[in-house]
Amino acid sequence: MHGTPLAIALLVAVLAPLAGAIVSGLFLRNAPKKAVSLVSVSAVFVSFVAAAIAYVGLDEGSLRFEGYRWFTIPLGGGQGVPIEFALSMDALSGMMAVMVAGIATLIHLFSVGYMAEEESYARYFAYLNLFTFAMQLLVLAANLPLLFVGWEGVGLCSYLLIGFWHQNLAYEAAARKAFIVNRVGDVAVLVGMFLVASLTGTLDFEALSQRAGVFDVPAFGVLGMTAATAVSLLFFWGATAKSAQIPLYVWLPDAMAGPTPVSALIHAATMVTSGVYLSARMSPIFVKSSAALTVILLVGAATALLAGLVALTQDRMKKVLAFSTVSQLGFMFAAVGVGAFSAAMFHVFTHAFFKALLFLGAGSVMHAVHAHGDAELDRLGGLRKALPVTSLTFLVGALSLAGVPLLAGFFSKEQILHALFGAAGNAQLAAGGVAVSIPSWAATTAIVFLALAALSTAFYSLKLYLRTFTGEPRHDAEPHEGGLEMKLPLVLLAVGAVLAGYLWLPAEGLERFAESLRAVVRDALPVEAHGGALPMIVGLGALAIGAGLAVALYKGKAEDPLPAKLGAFYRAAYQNFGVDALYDRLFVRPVAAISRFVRSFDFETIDGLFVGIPSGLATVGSKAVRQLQGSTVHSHALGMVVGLVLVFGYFGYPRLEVTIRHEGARTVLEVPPSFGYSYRVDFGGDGTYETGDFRADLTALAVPPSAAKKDRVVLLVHREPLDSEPVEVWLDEHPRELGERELGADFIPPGARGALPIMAWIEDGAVKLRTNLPGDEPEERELRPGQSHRIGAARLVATGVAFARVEVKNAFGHVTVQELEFPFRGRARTAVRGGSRRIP
Amino acid sequence: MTGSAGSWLFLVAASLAVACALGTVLSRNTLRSAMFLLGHLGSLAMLYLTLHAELLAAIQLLVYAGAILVLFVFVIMLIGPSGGEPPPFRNAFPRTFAATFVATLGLAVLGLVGRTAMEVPSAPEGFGGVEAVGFALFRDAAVPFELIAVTLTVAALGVVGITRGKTAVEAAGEAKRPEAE
Amino acid sequence: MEFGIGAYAVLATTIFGIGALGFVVRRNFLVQLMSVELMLNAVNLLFIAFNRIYVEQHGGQSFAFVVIAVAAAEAALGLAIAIAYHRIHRSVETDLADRLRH
Repeated sequence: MHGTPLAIALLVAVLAPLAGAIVSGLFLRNAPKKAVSLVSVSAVFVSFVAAAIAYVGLDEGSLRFEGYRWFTIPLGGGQGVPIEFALSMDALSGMMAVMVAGIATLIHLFSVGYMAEEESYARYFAYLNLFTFAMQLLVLAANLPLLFVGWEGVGLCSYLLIGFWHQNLAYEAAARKAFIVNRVGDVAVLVGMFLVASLTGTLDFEALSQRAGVFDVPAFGVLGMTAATAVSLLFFWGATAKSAQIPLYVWLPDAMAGPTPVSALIHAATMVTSGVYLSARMSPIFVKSSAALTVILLVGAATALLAGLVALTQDRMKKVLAFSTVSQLGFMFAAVGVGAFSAAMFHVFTHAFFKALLFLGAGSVMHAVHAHGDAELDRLGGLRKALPVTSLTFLVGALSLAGVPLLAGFFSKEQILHALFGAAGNAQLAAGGVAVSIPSWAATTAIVFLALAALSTAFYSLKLYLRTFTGEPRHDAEPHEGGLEMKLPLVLLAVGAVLAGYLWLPAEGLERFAESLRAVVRDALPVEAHGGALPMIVGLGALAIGAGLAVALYKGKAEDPLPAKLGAFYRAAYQNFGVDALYDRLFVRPVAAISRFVRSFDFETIDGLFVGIPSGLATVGSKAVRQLQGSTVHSHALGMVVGLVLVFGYFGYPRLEVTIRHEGARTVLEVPPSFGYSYRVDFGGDGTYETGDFRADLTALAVPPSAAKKDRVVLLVHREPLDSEPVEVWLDEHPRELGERELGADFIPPGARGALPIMAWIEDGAVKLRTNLPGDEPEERELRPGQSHRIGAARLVATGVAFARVEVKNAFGHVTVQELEFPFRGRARTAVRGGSRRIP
Repeated sequence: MTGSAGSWLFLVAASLAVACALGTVLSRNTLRSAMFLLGHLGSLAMLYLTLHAELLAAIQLLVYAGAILVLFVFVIMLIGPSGGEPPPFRNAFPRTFAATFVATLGLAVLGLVGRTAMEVPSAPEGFGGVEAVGFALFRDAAVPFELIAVTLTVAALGVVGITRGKTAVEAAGEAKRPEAE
Repeated sequence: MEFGIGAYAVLATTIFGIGALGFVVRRNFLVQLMSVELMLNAVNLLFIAFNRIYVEQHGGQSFAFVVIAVAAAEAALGLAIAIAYHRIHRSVETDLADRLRH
């Protein structure tokens, strides 16, 4: 690990929240709430301070912390894409890191008051800290895989926190929805990453922006797109999930099931903007694809308008804010779509302040009136007196969101509109020497959409304020402000919501902020200067109309007149234009049906076939076997007796063990004497018993010459040493090879393993040998009984064969017979050929 | 084993032994079974005498009739007369089995008769007497004889172990009693 | 009329068979024990009868002695089991001993 002390600050900024999460999640589960608050808030604050120090100390370039080589993606040909645990900070990620940590600190602080009554306090703060860690990792990662780790990490924490009150099944379902929809986007990010890795051989952002030229490939394999279009669209696809754009925005409104500070931090200020951050990070690639930018522009603008319209009709504070967030994210992507990445990031920055402020204000209201889950506008009203701080700060946030001049939202929204007008007026944009052409009809459409979205923004912002804080109270609670820990974040965020915009003013001392950002992202700027007053007129006009309508409609009214006025349109918009129902029909139900089928296939077909049949066989078989084992004493006794009878039956027959012994030239047949046994022997198999009738005194018998069998001869092979036991080779008329087994391994010359070229067979009562040894002439030889022949170290002797039929009878009169053949002459040998059978 | 006196003795003792064995097995009353067993053991002792095994005959009466059978009778008295055992051949299966078994055994015995004549040497003086068997036991089979002592000790320990412990039923009964009170 | 050792063998086989039959078909534990005694006695008879052929040894009689001792041990253990069994089932019917079955 190396790096300047400032680079170490990056590591601290990332790891401090992780440490906080581990400590409060694992060790402080049963600790006092104060300890948990202290640990987790200070962990995030340390991260903020570290990020701020690093950002302030940032020079023109970037700061990099080199960790260690994580792994290498092999590419073939010995090459690989090294993936390092490396953090980097430049103007873009520095701004994000400071903003994330700053807002996270305020929201942690707010949560201390908001969640004071919560039982799983430590779990909540552990999740929140873990989220901050993942978000900082996402922002400060120096390469795509590490960014993806953070990307998945924030997704996980989002899931955990949406479902924080997991006892409520609807909340749990919302958490699952968020998780699953995000997975749809993550696939695209992964594929995009693979594509980038295979095209450029690197995933490091710094190296990537240098090698962006690779993406100039005009035609790429898939659908005739350029490589830049494919990569840009894949990353944008991922961004539509994370940043809630059409078509994957449906999870964000449901995500309001989580605690309100979570909505403020994750689902308004930080995580949902990571799609915009990714786009800005990838801007060197994005600007190379006009087609992808056009898609992004239209999707962003359409999302802004659609969500803005839905937000008009929502009747709960958090739902309005949620759709408002989707709408504002649409603004940001519209800016991305015309290559105005710095404008998009600017809006990310300002939006984080006023949207976090609005959410925290909503949280404060809910805290005050003890509304759990969400606050219905119909049951609020007149809270201005009871909640002065909340009321005032909320008004600031609402006005900032609406785009009232001199507040933060005004500046960023104007920048976006400026960029759009620039794109609409000039077909030609240029980004670092690359020509970008957005169709002017697309830009014009986007302008119309965004103007209408801005109008509805102004309308619902003021509606929210008016229906919450003014008029007659429509609730029966006794509202009261939260403690200092809740008021302080509201005030600080309100200050941010006012002042954040001024950082972009081209004023002395402030210029560096925007300029350094523009140095990192690759903005596409109009070739000719363009703009004039038109964007501002459109923006202010939308604000005036929207605000005017809101004030006219809601000033002093207890009922919401909108449903009556808009009729069917209201109902459609209230239902999110049926998108949720459509997705349910298009995706959820088919997948559920497939799952049910697969489940039933597994449970019925697979289990039936591969579990049911064997178990059925086992059942049937065991039913049969069970009859055998009755487990009564009688059945056991019976088994014993039957076994006993069988053993008796076996021993009821005499056993015959014949031994043949050679004593010099004499061959002796021996049988063991036993009680009640008597023997008789027939030599030569001629039917006459040489011993006469059965004799009990028979133990040994010399084999007479008449035992010899004509035409039977056996080959005895004597091997070194010659006085050892010879090997008997029983031959027949079919020639066979003599090999290692018969002649011995040491006989075999090297290189001639296995069979040797020695063939042997029986012909006319003699052994025939045919040798074809290497180095010798082929030779054929006949061995009559008694004759021998020497081959190498082995002596081959032809020997006559004797035949004997031995019968033994026991006291019961049972007879066992054995017929055997054995070499007639030779040395001590106990060879027996033949089997015995029993004759009762 | 010569002389018609021995032959008659054998015939009488053998018939008695078989009859008493059948009585032991077939009698419904346990005590009567035990009495038949006593008769069987006595007739076996007689047969031992025909085989010149005087010591064994004495031991047979002493140990079997005197010790083991008394133990049987004692246990029968302790447990009480066993009433209500169904007739031994209630089921078809044991009936079939018994019939087959008896038939097979009878055939085997019939087959053996007359085919098993074996020469029997005359017994020397003192064969089967205390001295001869004593020599055989204490000199040739000293170790097995000592092992009998071990076997009997282990059996005695086993008996103590089996009868001393409470059965599960009794333990459960004792556990229940306080509740009833 | 002469009776050889074969006659003793026939007699021993018969008694053994009766014992085995009683062991299998009777359900009274005590009678079954007695049947075992019958079988042991049959074997003893065979030992002693065959010993009569080898008059210079007493192996068979020694073995019969051992068998008697083992039979005594067996009877003692068997009767102890009978008492324990009776304490559980209030009966000596071996049909009731079916716990391992369930």
